[in-house]
Amino acid sequence: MQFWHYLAIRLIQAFFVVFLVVTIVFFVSRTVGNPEVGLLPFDASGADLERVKENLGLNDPLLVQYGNFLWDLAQGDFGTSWRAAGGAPAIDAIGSRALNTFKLGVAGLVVAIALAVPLGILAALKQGTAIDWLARVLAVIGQAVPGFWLGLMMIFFFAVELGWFPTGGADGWRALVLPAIALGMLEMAAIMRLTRSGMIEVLDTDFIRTARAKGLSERVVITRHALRNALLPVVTMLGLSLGRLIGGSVIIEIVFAWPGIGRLIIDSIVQSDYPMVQASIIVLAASIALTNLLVDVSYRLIDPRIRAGAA
Amino acid sequence: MSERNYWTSLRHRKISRRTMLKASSKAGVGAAGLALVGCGGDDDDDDAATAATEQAEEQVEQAQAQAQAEEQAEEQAQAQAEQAMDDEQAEEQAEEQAVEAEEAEFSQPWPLDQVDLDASIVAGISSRQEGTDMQRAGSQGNVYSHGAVFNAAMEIDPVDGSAIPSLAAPEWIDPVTLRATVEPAPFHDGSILTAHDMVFSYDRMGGRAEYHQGGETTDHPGGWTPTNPTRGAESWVRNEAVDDRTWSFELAGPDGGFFPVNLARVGEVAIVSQADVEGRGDAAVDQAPMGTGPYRFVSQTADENSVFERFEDHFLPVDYPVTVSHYAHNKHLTVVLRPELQSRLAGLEAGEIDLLESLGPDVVAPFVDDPEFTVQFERTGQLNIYINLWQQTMDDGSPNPFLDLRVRQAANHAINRQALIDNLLLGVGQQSMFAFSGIGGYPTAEQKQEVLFDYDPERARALMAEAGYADGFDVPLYIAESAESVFGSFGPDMALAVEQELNAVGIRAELRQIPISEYFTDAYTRGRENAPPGLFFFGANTVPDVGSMWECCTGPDGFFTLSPPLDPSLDELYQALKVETDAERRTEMVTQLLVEHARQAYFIFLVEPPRASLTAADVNWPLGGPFGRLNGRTAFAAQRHV
Repeated sequence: MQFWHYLAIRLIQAFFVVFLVVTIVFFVSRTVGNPEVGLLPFDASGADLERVKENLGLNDPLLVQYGNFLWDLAQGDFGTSWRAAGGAPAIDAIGSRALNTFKLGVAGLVVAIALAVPLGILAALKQGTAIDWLARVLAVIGQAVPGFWLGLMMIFFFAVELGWFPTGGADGWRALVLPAIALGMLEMAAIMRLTRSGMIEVLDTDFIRTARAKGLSERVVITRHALRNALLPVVTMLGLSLGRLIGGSVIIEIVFAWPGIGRLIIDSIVQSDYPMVQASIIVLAASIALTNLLVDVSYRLIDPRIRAGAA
Repeated sequence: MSERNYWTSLRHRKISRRTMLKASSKAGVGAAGLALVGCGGDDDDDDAATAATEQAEEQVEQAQAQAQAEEQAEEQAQAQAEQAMDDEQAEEQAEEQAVEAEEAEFSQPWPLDQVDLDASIVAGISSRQEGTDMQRAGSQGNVYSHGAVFNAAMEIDPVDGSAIPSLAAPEWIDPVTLRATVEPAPFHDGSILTAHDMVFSYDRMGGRAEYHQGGETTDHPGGWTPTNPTRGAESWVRNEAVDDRTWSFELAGPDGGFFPVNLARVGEVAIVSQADVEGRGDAAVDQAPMGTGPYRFVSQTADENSVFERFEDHFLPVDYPVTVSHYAHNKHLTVVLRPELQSRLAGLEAGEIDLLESLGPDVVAPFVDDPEFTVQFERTGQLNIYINLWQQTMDDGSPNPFLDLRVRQAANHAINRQALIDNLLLGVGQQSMFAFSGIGGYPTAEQKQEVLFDYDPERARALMAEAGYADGFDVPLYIAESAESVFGSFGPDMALAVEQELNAVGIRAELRQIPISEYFTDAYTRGRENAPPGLFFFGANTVPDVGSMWECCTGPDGFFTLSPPLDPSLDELYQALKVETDAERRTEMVTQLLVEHARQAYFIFLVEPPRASLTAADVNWPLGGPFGRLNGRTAFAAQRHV
């Protein structure tokens, strides 16, 4: 299969995934919630509520609302937030938050890689020793500990007790450290396990034995021969990890008052701001679909066996 | 000593009258004695000289004796009257002490020489709406962040909840016409407030300004729907400027509660500059508010913070004595958003945040004895259970048991309110016994006692048996999901406790959680005749006037009314109250209305929970009085110690 043909098919698949997600979100969000109630004071009269509902187009039949939504979307109009200051277009409000979430996701991934890869290598090299055991325990803990709990503990210890970092917000690089670590811990566990198993598998192969037999130093064997091959599945996973970190940063964003897209989605759902929910989900779904696509494409480019298999 | 309010005055008046009656009765004994002594016999003797002389002598003696007796009686009466006066004074002193003690619960501003007027304060809040146009539906909820940018026409006095002049000093010309002198207050852009701005502001929030009819001509991309104050623009028939300083307003009918509800309600009722709004447009106003308030808006970052600085030319001086909501005792104010409670608390502990508000008593419990922080409780609304009295039958077709007064009384006797307060509210809070709280004219403690339903399960079971429900009955008890966010952190536990207590007397309540987005809609609490039969856990905020609560949630026409009074005389009383403008008479009528509503047990009364604020020890956040936080913007009155 030609690369461009393959890419086109994957793009179409990604488009339908996003379309399906958005359609589900559109209808599900309208099954619960009455935005007009939240937009007016608690004791607003029925007439006032009706007026707001009419102005928001919520009195139209659901299919008409859906048609209008798709028509606007086709023209690049994601809708106008009902609650953003000045009635900003939803996509504008998402812009800075998406950037913040991306920043946090990348930082989390850096933390995860920085901890997981050396630990995974060390655990594989010292297989069956206390170091291996400790690394695996750390991996289990990283996967088992809820992000919000870890985040709160880190706030109390590093921010309140030691005063090294701020307790929340997004003011400067110091504010990024704790949420990035809290977010990265979960992925760290998965990457560490994958690195370890990959290394163990590679270290047992013929070409590693050959490399050693040639008299190469252990450092060269590990870094130039074993690691490059062992990290191939890890690299593939990183793309997916980034998608998971971006999509799964909601709790961390709330705990650390990080102004990201996850928090925006939660707030918008709570406030029944349909245009903002829809636009946020579109952006999120599209970014995850795109990341997956990039991973698939890069994997195809990196691993000649995939290309050969596809051909 | 602080000023007296309606109710303390009424207490004084009532006690004075009662004491006078006691005094009168005591004096009456003396007077009766005096009368008896004074009733000498009308002797009818002959006119013999001797006899006459003797008689005259006797008469003199009698007269002397009588005079002596009269003198004694007079002295006795005087002594009794003095004693009665002493008693009265003692009682008045006791009352004054009680009032002082009550007012001492509410922290007062520090003297200015103890305040760092150049300080910066950081307040932490959980959420806000991003729009800043207080007159636009969807943005008005930003009151905590932006309330201080605006002034209302009037303000609520934190001590007694009465409406006091602010930008306007209104007076009634007749029962439907008010005329107000408008203060020449400067806006933040240097222009001066005129009566035309008042007219414009009310037309705008009432949806009458020409430029945004139906949101069709606004430049706001999200459309523009006015907030429309509680009583609604339909209740005004005329709103005009007589001249630059005189504003005239005419109502469709008399409304004794108009001042507190429609002139002083902070939030929707914010006075804006006509030139500014028309010049910049709705969208710009929704991004950067401009008013006459004590703080000038500096900036806002979505989901992060809002920054303000003191408006040095505010029309009221910093030491304005009446209400704490006016002054700006710090130079800079930043409001930061921290959605997660523990993160907010951590921010306070780390010294990044100076004050937090709207916390549950369970949240602040660990800080109560910590010298580094100050915990302050304030009165807030109340939690009650609304009984659906619209439905004649329950889900299974059986008659609605709560239509029987005895069942409603039984439900009220089933609740151990003090236990709820002790166990869930740190012992702080009060038993709820009336439909509203925090209003000007709240019934006295004596009146509360009069209709209080004691915790008496035996009595409850007896009433159930008397009503024919000895074996009990099933009933759903609805509550909003995320009850902790709606009713306070203790809400879910309280609902569970109430469910068990009702079950104990045979009212087999079954807790049913409804998504919050549905709970306050026509499907449930707004449903009236369409609402499902059962019980509804419900909270009510403090309100400035009984009318807004009656008209929304308690009276037969209220859109939130689930327990319409079965006795029509109650609504007749409210209708009479609504047009009554005499303050003293209104107070009496409010009392009568609330007491009668409580006696008929239209709600299952629960508690008036406290709301707590938490500040760093060097920060004072004065409440000023029981009504101090009513307008939600005293956050701007924080003081940092020098």
